[in-house]
This record gives sequence, C-alpha cells and structure tokens, in this order.
Amino acid sequence: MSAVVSESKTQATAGSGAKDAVWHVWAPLGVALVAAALGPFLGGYVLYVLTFAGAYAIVSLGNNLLLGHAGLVSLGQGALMAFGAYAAGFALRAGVPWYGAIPIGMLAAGTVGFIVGLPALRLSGHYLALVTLAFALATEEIIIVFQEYTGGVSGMPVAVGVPSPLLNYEVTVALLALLVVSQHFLLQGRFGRALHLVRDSERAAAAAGISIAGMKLLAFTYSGLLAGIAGPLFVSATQYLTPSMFDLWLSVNVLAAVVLGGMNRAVGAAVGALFVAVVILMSTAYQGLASIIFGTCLLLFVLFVRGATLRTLSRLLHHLGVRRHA
Amino acid sequence: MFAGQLIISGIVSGAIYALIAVGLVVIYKASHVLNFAHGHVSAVAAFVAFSLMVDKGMAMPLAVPLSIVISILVALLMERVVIAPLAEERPLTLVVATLGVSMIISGIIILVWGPSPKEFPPLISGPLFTMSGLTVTKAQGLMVATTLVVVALLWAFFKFSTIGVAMRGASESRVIASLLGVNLRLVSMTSWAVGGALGALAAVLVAPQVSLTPDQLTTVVIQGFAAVVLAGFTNLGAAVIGGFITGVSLNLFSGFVVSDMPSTFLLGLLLVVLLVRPHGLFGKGETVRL
Repeated sequence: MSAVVSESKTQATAGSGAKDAVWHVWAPLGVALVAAALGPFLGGYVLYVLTFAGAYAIVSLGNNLLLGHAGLVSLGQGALMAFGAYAAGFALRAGVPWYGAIPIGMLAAGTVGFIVGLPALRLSGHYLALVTLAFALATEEIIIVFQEYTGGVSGMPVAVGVPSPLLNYEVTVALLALLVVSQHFLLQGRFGRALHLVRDSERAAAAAGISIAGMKLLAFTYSGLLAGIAGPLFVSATQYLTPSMFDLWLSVNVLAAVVLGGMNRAVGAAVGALFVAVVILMSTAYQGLASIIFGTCLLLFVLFVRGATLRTLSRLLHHLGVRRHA
Repeated sequence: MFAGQLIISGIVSGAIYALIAVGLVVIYKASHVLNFAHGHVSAVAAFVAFSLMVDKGMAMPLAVPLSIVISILVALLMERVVIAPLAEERPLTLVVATLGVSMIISGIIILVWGPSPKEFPPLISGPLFTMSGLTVTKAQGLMVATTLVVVALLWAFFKFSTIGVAMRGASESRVIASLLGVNLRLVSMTSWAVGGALGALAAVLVAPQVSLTPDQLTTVVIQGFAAVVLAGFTNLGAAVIGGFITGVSLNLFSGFVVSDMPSTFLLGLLLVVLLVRPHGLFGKGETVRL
C-alpha cells in the first residue's frame, strides 16, 4: 500500500473539503510562516521552549496517526523518541553534521518502531498498551545499563556539531508545518482509508484485500520515523541527554497531547503537544503542578468535551465572528 | 542456597504482586478497564500512613487501617466522578481517564510530600525462622500471610456473600444482573473499594522495603500488571498465581542474569507468553478492543 497523496476526494476524516483546507493546510502553513519570520526576534529561552514544543508536536503527530487513525494504543512513543535522540547524539559526537543526524535518528527510531509494531500484529487493546508500557520502561533501563556509551543516569553531553538555536528552531518549525500538512493529505488518500478500515473492522479490511499486518506495521514505523525526527531536534535544543528525559511520563504526555488535540486531526495533535510542552516548561519551578494540570485537562476533556478541542475552538471563533475565506 | 534465598524473596514480592493483581482484576471485572491509576491510588495509603506514623506519632495498628480507608475513599471518589459517567465509553477513553487520575494524584503527592524518597518505618522486624541456612524475616512472613488470608477472605466473599455473588453476576452480564434486581451502582462501588483496599494494603506492606517516592508504587504496580496479563485479566485465582510467577521469575532473573533490568525482563516475559497465548496463560479469548 503506497502513500498516495493525490486522491483527496474522500470523507475519511470529518469536515467538508474547503473548510478542511483552511484548518488543515493554510492555517498551519500561515502560523508556521509567522513563527519562522519571528524567529530572529525571539530570545534564547523562548526559542528553546518553542523548539522543545515543536519536537513534542512532531512525536505527537506520529502518535496521532497511530492512535487516532490506526486505533493502536502506544505508551512507548517517548521511548521511540529516546532512540532517535540517542542515535543522533552518537552521530553528532562522531562528527556527523546536524542535517545528517536527523536521518540517522529516523533510521534508528523507525527500525525500533517497526520492531515494536510486531507484537501489535497479535495484540490489541490493554495488552498492547501494557507491552508498549513495558517497552518504555525497558528503554530507560537499557540506556542506563549501557552507561559506557550513554553516560548512564548522569547523562551524555552533546555540545558538538549542533546547529545554532535559531537555525534549529527554524528547522523545527519548517519540519512541523510540512509534517502536519503532509500527514493531512496522507490520511485523505488511499492510505488513510485503508488505515481507517483496519481500525474500524479488521474483517472488512481483510475482505477489501488490505494487508492488516502491513498497515499496522506501517503505522508503527511511521510513528517511529516521526519520533526519530523529533529526537535529533530535541537533542540539538537541550545539548544534553539523560534517560530520565524519556521516562514513562513523556509517553503519557504524548498520549495526552493527542487525546487533547482530538485524536483524529493532525493539527489538533500539534496544538495539543504545543500546549503540553509549554505547560511542562512553564511549571518546572512547581514540581507536580504540570501533572495536575494535564490530568485535570484530560479528565475534563474525556468527561465533557470528547469531540475535539480544535472543533470547539473553531466553533468558538465562529461564534465570535471570526470567519475565513476558503 | 543463593537460589533458595532468591526464591523466598521472589515468593514474598510475588505476594505483593498478587495483591495488586487481584485488586486490578476485581476492578477490571466491574468496569472493564485496566486501572492505570492503581499505583497512585495505592500510594496515597503509604504516604498517609507515613505522615500519621512519623510526623504525628500515631501507633501503627491505628495508622495503617486509617490510611487504607483514605485510599478506599480516593478509589470511590474516582469511581463516582470519573469511571461511572464513562461506563458506556470505549475502553480507550477509560484508559485515558485513569491515566488522567494517575497524573493528578502523582502531582498532588509531589506537592504535599515532595519528590524526595521517604524512609517508611518497618511494620515488624526480626527473623521469623531459619531453616537449613535460609532466613525468613517476620516482615516477609507478614506479607505472604496477609496475601493468603486476604485471598481466602475474598474467595469466601465472592462465593457466599450476596453482594459478592451479585458482583460475579454483573461481570458476566450487566443487563441480566440488573434485570434480576442487582444494584449495579453498588456492585461497581464495592469493586472499586475492594480494589482500592487491596492496592493500599500492598502499598503499606511494601513501603518499608522500598524507598518511597511518588511514582515508586507505580513501578511495583507494573509487575502487578504483568501478573494480570499472565493471568488473562478475569480470573482471580489465576491472578494470584500470575503474581507468584512474576515475583519468583523476576527474582531469579535479577539474581542470576542481570540485576538492574527488571522491566526489560518483564517485557520479554510478556512478549513470550502473549505471543504463545494472546489472552494470557489462563485467559479465555475475550476480545478487548480499544
């Protein structure tokens, strides 16, 4: 099943065509353009926060496809990001330029994503959630055990070869915008329809000649590739890696970002992730506060909103008289 | 000798995993959700007991039951406010909701007690007996004995008490049970109270053995999750066996192979068991969709 971009006449995702294009293509591109233009005027800390948030958003995009469109629950997305980040860290320390470190991160996390996807062929639901959870915890342990290479608990500095904070920020903005838009088109086409069919009824998918195993593995590999893009961007921003950066809470936060963003929308996942990342960084002085905020948001969301934050927001804007021309 | 000691400590940690696993299964049977907040709901008891005993100087026989009651109240609050309104939702929504509760409680524990580890006072100390060089401490005996007694009581509860039988019936079919006059609300609340009590008991028993941090109990609960998966989610007796299998095999692995990779071992164990038997060792092929 190849990723066909052209066939966008489909009702696979909710919403009508023209309005869709505004929200899912032009809005993210416009916001990204403004964000990129503002780059040179932003202070070091703001750049760091936004880059961090952008990396977060890219992992969440991958999880959005996995959870929202393929119906596969993963609590291991943070661990996939760890593979991307450490692979990029090793590459940078070995003298690979930063633009070379990104494909290396993708290769590492994509491969691991494929492997994590293998159990998903036999497992679903709670079982899959638990196995990916164990994978997330195991990853942290593996990083610590191989301390000769990773620096163990005390971490690994990656100060050589990283791009300037501004360049890293611009690259993050560009990649995020590109991925949001391309994921939207990817899911509008044959690939998206096949994925939805596998999610909604495996029997129907099999009857339609779709390879269920292939689709699930593709979804996991895709989420790995995106985590592998986020990892290198992340390490270029922090210039330091410790296993605790990739603990279980990272995976849970990524899941939270996708749920808050409304599950089936790429833009929603990105917005959810930006919110989550900014709250995390803003509340570092008050440990525990970010957890309470996210937990409360998640509960309010599943109890009262459920549809999509983005949809609620767009309705709100609509009520306030903000209208856009398609 | 070394292996013997490992097996003994494996049985002891297995007892704790069994308590946790049984609590998770009771909740699962009532609400069809794997409670990802179980570790933090249970941790509340350990932290409250710590404060009562160390800060307020309350006697252990008073502090421990009181702290377990607090955990039960938290579990009941969670059932009423979060789980009951979502009863008809997809399991995925419920899993996300329990993760949300987990985050809130974790944050509250960090705000109230701080992130640094607490030294929980021993409930009981000294050796229980020594047999051919193998020592069993009183604390270890207490854990195993508590688990066995609790599981026996629970078995009797589900076998003979009206509400226990109603709970089993409701887990078979909610519709038929409610047609027969079973109060589903009471069933669900009782299940969460029992689950919360079992988790809290496990937390207080294990707290002196670990450095008590806000997320520590969640690490212990993950072994309980493994036990539940091995058991196949719905069978209480199997959950107990799953707990002991997890405890003993994990201890042998840590003692003979690698000491600091317990989660990696669990991942391997889960994968091997689930790939051979996708619904657990004793599971009955119930399909659960998220």
